Amino acid sequence: MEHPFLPILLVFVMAALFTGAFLGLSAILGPKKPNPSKLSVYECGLEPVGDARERFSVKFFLIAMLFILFDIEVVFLIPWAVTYKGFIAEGMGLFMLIEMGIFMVILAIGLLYVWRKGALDWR
Amino acid sequence: MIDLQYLISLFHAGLPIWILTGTGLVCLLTDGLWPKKGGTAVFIVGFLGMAVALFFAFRQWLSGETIAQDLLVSDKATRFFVILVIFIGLLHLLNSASYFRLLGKVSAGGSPAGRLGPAGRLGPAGDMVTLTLFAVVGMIFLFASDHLIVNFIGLETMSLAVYVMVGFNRRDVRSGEAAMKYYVMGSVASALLLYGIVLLYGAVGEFRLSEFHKVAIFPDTAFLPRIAVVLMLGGFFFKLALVPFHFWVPDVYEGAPTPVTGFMATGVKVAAFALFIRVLTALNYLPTAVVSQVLQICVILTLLVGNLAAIVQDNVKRMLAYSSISHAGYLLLGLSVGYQSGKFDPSVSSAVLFYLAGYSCMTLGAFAVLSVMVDEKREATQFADLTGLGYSRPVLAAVFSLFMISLLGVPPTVGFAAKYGIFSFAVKNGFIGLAVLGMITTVISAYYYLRPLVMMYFCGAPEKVKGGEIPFPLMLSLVFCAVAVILLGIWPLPYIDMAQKAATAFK
Amino acid sequence: MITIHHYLILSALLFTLGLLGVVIRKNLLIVLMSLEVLMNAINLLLIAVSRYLGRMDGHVVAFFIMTVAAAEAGIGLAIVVTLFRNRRTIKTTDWRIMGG
Repeated sequence: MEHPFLPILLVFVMAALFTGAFLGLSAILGPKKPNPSKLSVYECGLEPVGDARERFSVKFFLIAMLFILFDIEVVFLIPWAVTYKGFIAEGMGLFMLIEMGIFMVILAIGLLYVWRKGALDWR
Repeated sequence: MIDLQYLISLFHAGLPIWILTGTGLVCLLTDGLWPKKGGTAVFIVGFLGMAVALFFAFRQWLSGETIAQDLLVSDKATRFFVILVIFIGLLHLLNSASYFRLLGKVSAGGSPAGRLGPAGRLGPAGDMVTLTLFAVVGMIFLFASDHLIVNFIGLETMSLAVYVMVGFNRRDVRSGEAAMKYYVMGSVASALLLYGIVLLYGAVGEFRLSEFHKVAIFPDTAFLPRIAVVLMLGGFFFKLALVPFHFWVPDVYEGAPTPVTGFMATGVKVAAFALFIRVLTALNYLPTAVVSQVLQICVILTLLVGNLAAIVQDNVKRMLAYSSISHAGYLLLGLSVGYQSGKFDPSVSSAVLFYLAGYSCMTLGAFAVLSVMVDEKREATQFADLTGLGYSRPVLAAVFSLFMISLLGVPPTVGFAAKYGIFSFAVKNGFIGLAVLGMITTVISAYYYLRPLVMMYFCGAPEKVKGGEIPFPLMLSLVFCAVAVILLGIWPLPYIDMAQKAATAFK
Repeated sequence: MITIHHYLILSALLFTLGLLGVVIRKNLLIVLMSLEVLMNAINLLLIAVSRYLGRMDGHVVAFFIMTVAAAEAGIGLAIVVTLFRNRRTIKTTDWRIMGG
């Protein structure tokens, strides 16, 4: 009997078999003669990224991190704004406004914390 | 229109949660407004908030009536776990406050003042308090709902807070590395769990565990729910640190600041077990005959690997990490004996609940002792550091011995009562083999639990006294844990009764 | 015709890719990206499934999962930054992290 979800099982089985077989075979059969240039990511040319420390600016990461977090709040704001009219019609306008207010206050506290801890200073 | 009555009952159902969340936000605000010296204030606010939440959790427990609200479950089982988790949070606050003060005092002379990280600041670290509060809120959401997504969000709230706590000691590379390792492993575990949840949603059409019984019975050949269950089990085993998925535990437990290790070994495990019991109960309605075998195999592996690997460790924290793995094995043993002809009977979980309470007390106590063991700028937690502690610091050594004996399971302590409960259920339900295995591994564990005692009392005098004075908060938590270990050991009946009442709520 | 099976297979493939990335890649940033791939594979599956079932709750849940993934990425980046700050002063020892 064919079940509608048969393909997904097949995918799992195939993935497990192939990866297992390849990893296992190469671990058993492959010769192991490592040397530094073989172990590097590119055998010629650029050094691997992990060593290029000069190009790693922590500031960008910090800002990116904060951006992600405050960016996501919009994901909640937009559906709320779209459906807000419907809630007013149902007489729940004030309630939804307060709910969103609580959400925004929590975020604001987070922002305040970040700011006072000096994470926003570009130095 | 809004139903005001409904809102009020929702408020009542989750009162401890709202208090904890509010306190967490206030702590964040305090720490943000006075970043330089807010530490102590934050600690006091956080501690009081938790105490108030604990009070209301007790009142809820005594009031008896079950309030089930939409996504929030407030039955006896949930309330039991709420109380337990808040207790763990409180003890962790006490431990961690003094730990960072100790580490700061000891290391303040050695390093330039400007480069002190949060751990170097004198006084309790405010962030740690806030993180603890949010972690506890996450733990409560992790089991106080029957909606799998709410559980998942709780899990993530808890995990994210704990990742940061593990990496809290910013100057210590091991701490950061442990945080990274825990983060990667924990995220993969969460993803596995979530994948399982979503597949289950595809198969059943429901996120809510309480709706599972309405679903048409699947044929035994249906494999989508099976894959889902296997993935979810994988996620749980990661979080619970059971043996096929335990490899990250020793490194992370060793690298994390000592009180945080205690928090991870107790709080995270307690919360994950609570959800695990709930999920196992709901899975009865799905074709999951294989689960019982998986659990049994896992129990056998966990007991053997956890206990045998603990023997060869020379760091006490690492030893306790393996010990916590093997205790998770005993707990899982308590659950796996609940399977009768393929169905899980949640009434066995009463022994597990009691075990969790006892285990939390003794483990938190042991880690509280270890967090006093601070040398110049580092944690002195090698076995060799314990040499002669019985003479240089008799009280500390005596208390540590008590916790070791309790972890081993010797009669006057809670460890014995807890293990007795688990094994008696195993024998009653006909799992003699598992019970015998549990007893044999307990005997094996005597070797590594008694080794610290030998080091402390029979290995000569110490070279010098390790660590500082025992600070007041830590003393408080030590006394509480020691009293609890003895009290629950001598007179366990009221607490077993509590656990039984809680266990009947799972259905 | 694209059916639910295609989505299921695609998400399973993405999930496997993400897992492989976490296990194999040595660069921590790539590992973080792989974790994001895991979350997105799940979200894809969730949306497909809830469309298939004709229900809305899956769509709502997708938002929550996105948020969780973002928070997770934030924490991960923070940990990486802390590690890098430490490593710069300390001689390169091997990352013990990539063991599995």
